[in-house]
Amino acid sequence: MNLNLFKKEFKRSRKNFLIWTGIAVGFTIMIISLYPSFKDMGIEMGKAIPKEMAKAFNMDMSSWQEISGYYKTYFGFHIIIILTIFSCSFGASIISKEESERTSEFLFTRPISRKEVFMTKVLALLSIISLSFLIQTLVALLMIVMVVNNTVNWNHIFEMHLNGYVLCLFFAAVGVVFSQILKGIKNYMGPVVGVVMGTYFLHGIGSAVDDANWIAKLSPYHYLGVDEFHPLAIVFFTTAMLLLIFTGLKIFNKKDIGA
Amino acid sequence: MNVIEAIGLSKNYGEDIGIKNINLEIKKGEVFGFIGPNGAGKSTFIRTLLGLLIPTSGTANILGQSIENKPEEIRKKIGYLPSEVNYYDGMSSRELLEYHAGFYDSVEHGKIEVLGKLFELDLDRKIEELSFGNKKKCAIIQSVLHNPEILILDEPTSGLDPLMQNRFFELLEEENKKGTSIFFSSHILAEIQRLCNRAAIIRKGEISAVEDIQSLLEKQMKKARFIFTAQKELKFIEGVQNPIWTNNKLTFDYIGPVKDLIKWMNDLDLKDAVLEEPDLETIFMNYYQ
Repeated sequence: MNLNLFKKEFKRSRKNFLIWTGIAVGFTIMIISLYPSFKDMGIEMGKAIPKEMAKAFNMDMSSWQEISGYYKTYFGFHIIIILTIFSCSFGASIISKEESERTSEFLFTRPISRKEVFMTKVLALLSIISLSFLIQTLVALLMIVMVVNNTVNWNHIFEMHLNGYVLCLFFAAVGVVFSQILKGIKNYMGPVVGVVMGTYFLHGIGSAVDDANWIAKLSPYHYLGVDEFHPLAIVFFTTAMLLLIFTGLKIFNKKDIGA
Repeated sequence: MNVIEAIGLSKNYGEDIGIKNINLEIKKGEVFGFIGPNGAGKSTFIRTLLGLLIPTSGTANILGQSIENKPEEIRKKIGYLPSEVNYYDGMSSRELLEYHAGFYDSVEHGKIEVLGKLFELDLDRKIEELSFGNKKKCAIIQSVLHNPEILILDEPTSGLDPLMQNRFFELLEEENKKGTSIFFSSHILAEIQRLCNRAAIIRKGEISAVEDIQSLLEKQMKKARFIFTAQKELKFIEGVQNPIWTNNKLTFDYIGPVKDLIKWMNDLDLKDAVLEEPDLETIFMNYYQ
């Protein structure tokens, strides 16, 4: 790892990090602070929302009496979507922006190997995503401690956060591979939103319609959801992330570097 | 000892040829010119040498080491000045130069100030606020800051005013005296003529000639101006090129033995005659015709 480049990446990504983390944290504060008002409304709200829609969006209003049941409804959709879009778009841009901003000629003529550039950038990417996720998690825990008076299912909260974290790392690696295989793209937001929302809705449709359950199995959100925790899924998607990064490095090592 | 050695180096962009079978040897301490029009393959050759482009075939050695084997080690000893300067927005020149210095083991940070003063560059101004010429000055400082053994310069003077060009040439001459070898790519022949010992001419991706600058200038080529009492029908001898009559004055380029020219002059009823050494540009254009 090259410390000089690592520090530069942190500095360069500061604005992006602050915006996305700020949105996730702001949303976390808002939804948890509203919990006392929503706590007892869950069952009534549940009657108003079609069962299929509730399933599609992980809404289980009957569980709102306990904070983790309420929190997962919003964490599983809004916060995870925000953080996975951030992770995937950041993964797609961290290497490719050197070419799109035409600074690659400067960077790649320094005495640093392509592998070291790639690995340093990936390390910075994973560190920044981890930091963003950690801040969101700490804020959520702090808010829960402040707002909730009764018992909290900490285990459930920990498991959904761990699933969410692995999802973010996985989508970051997907972004890295996107940037290596999609040519001539300067803004990756389209493909990123497409793949993140697309796989999320595969999970939603599959969960809502019993006959289409198999569709949900095509989505990482199915295995790393907010209800169930499978250690094997953690191992599988962490391995997949590492393989994607390795694939990205292999492609990167053999390509011409643009101006 | 060769500091740069290209052996059958080729680079294709799909079906388009970037450079084709380039063989070049640049000696230690030499200032080597690389002449060619826009799109001839100068930058492709340089970018392949630096490892930005993967060669289609052939290879190159820099300081005796293959560019495919640990190119990052080679790049420690190279200073590169690109033709187009693109740096990170939001950074000042000082921050950029400090960032650059961070990639090398030992850089005298005081040199940033000294060179900043020499080129009259406001080091604390943001790069995106700098003119093209000032960005180029920042790039010049960056290229020499880490005391490289080889300087690779790609169209280095574009954007510099004549005063700064002169300071830049003086800096290059100083670096060369200290033992730095210089690879100078340009389409401005006067620069090549001023600085270089030898030069290669690249055309459509291929090297058409590698010449010693002095012997290139001393080739049997002459620029001639003959003045007659009146314009007349002449039978030109072999070697006369581009003859142009202006009233009673004939100008032309001549390539061939001087004694044949003098013999022909004797047969003409000349009022006056001027024979000049051609400038490099004339010789260069000759290569293209």
